[in-house]
Amino acid sequence: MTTDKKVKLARKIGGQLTGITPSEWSKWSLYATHFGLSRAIQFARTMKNSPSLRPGPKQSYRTIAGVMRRFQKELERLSQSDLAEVLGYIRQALFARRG
Amino acid sequence: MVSAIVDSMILMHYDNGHDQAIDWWERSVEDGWRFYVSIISLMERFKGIAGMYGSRDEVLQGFRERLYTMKREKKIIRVLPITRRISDHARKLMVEYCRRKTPSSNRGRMEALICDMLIAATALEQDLPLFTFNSGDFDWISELALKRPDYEIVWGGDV
Repeated sequence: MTTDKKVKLARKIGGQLTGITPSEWSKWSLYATHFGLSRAIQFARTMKNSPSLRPGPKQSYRTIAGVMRRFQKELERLSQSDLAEVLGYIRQALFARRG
Repeated sequence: MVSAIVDSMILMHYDNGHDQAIDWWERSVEDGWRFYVSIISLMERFKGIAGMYGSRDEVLQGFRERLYTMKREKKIIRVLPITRRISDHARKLMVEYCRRKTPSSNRGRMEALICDMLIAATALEQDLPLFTFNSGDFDWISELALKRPDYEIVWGGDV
């Protein structure tokens, strides 16, 4: 996948992430690059209902679980390094939204 | 269940991904608050994100999708339109403002004042309190119930 396509995909995913902080995204991305996308989405689904989390981080995991599941098939076709790159571009998109 | 209108700045904080704003919003919804947003705040947000990096269509579509999600998940109960009654009320508020104060000649501040009057009139017509950080812009409207969210944005604190 070309860099342009990766950036485009990242912007599309980032645009759908609502109520998410770049810091929660970074933590989840790290988990996803270490343990794989499928396990990371499962992790987000668990965390979104965790009573030990504040409402804000719970919302971050709720949105990650919802949005990333929609893009799971597309992202699973990527190599590990390409996936890490796309997740990094999503983080940039989230920061860019702050202006 | 308690209902309120959330003003443009709070919507911007949430949409921009500020920890404190997201935490406050989510906690309030968990506590039973039902939040409404004026169409004016939405328009201000569209204007705000238009300058973001990337394809304009994609940026605007992204916000539409986030807004749809917020409504689906009941983070926003409804976007309130400007009705005839609201526009009449806003005009009366503006006249009253001009009697009491001298409006700024700065174009940006004038636009902001018009938006504020429309949002205040929406809150009054809907009989809802208004969550805002800009209480100074509204506190002369005695019949308007103002509330301040209990969070502060810490810039650069959540990297």
